[in-house]
Amino acid sequence: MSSSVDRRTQAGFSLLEMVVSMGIMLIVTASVLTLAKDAFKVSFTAYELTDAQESVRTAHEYISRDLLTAGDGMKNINNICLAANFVSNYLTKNPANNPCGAGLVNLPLVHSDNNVPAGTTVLGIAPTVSVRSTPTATDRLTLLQLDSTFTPVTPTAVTPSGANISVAASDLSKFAPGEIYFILSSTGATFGTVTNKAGGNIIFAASDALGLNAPGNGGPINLVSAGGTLPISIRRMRIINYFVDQNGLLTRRTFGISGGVGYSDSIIADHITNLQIRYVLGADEDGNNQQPVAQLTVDQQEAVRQVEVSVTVETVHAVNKGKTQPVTMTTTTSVRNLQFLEALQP
Amino acid sequence: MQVNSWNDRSRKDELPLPRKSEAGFTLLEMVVAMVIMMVGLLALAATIGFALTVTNKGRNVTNSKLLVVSILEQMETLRNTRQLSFEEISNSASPNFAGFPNTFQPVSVNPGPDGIYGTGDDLIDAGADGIYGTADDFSNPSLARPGLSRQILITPLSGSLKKIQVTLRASGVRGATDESKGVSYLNNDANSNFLP
Repeated sequence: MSSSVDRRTQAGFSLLEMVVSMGIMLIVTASVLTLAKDAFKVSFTAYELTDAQESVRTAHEYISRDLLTAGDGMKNINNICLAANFVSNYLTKNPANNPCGAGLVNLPLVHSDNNVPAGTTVLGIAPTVSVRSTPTATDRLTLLQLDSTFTPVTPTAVTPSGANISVAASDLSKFAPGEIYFILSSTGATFGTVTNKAGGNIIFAASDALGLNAPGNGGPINLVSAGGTLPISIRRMRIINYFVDQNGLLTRRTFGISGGVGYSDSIIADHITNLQIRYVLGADEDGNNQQPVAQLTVDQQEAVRQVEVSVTVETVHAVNKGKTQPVTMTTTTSVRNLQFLEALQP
Repeated sequence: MQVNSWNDRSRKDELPLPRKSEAGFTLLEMVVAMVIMMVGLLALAATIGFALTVTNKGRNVTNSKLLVVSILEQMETLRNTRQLSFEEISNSASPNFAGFPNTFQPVSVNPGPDGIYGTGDDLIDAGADGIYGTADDFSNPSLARPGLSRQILITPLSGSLKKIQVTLRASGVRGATDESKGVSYLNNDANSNFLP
């Protein structure tokens, strides 16, 4: 504006007008800011809840997928015996107490571990973590799956006392130390870690990293091969173990993968506060219907028909009065591949 | 201090404006503009509230779908294990099975004495002795999952095919009821999932 113009001729706002308009502006701004604050809070909550919901969905999807395929390709395979130490260290504090022999326990196709006690360490993770036990104890789930990409190998001889299994020279390259294999015969089956390869033999020596091997006359390989007299077959089988650690990570640990230390962990979802699993059973031996249970007994293992999985996730950040919000979802999956034993009987 | 009224200021002889373009907004104009802006912002805030409602609804839908699928999975199990024959999987009663009611039933945590979810006896509690069929059995409403009810409709399409429709009602926001529906088909081949 040119300075030559007389200022009084310019009509501006009066002071009163300014005070009134600024007052109104202040009220409007204050209310808008309050609204904006609430709106931000709401949108933040919505985002957090959606995120938590996605975690629940992912967890359900993985577990359901594994339950659907659990036991696939395992028709007529039963009486799976494993070193009791391995089972209690890695899989469940409640092993099926059906000893195949001293120091051995039975491993069903799907197995429970209800409310893992506080302080149960997850082996093989550094720094050390425990299975989640606060605010509530969580469950673990173990299931077996056949790896169909591995062509079964038929050994030429078995020396159970030394746990040496002789295989054809062409098959020897399929095995590597550290890998876990499934050894089965017409009477039963077991798992073993390859510790060495020498002179056409794959060797399952004692003191492997997982405590799986138990060579000798009382060992599972001896049991399965009936002292080396029964023909055996070697396959690759996965033991899948789901657990929630103290940091809320839902982990899927797979034993029996190719290469490596014999197992690998995948994190499926985080901020999991609870994992509860119940097993829906068919009729018992007397024909009575049974109610769902959280812990399977030896007799109930054969009767598992469906598995009910309940996953709780908390929001990553506090959304309501300084507290995180839990989201729980439950579903039931038919373990259809466990039923072949009965379903296929005429 | 001189306070000009609106009319005073508009009188050209007293307050001549050098250029029309230098005339500012009047107070009235500002108030109107701010009111419009406030209406707009309020609408925006309402949208965010709506977004939250939709998110909640989405979560309920996911929850419902899982419970719908549970029943469809169960039908497959019942057929495969031959716990029920293909004929017995129906809304009508048969000699050994009361049938699935075709009305909305509470969604129970337990399957009741018959061991089958979605039937009329799901809320029956075995009582202190934990055994069904004894005198202390009672109907336990606390077994029901709150705010949920489920309907199972089974329509025979042919002698060997049935349509199963599961509807789940969940109480939604502000007293509304959300419904999720799932349809599946069941044949009478219990071995269909398995290789011979």
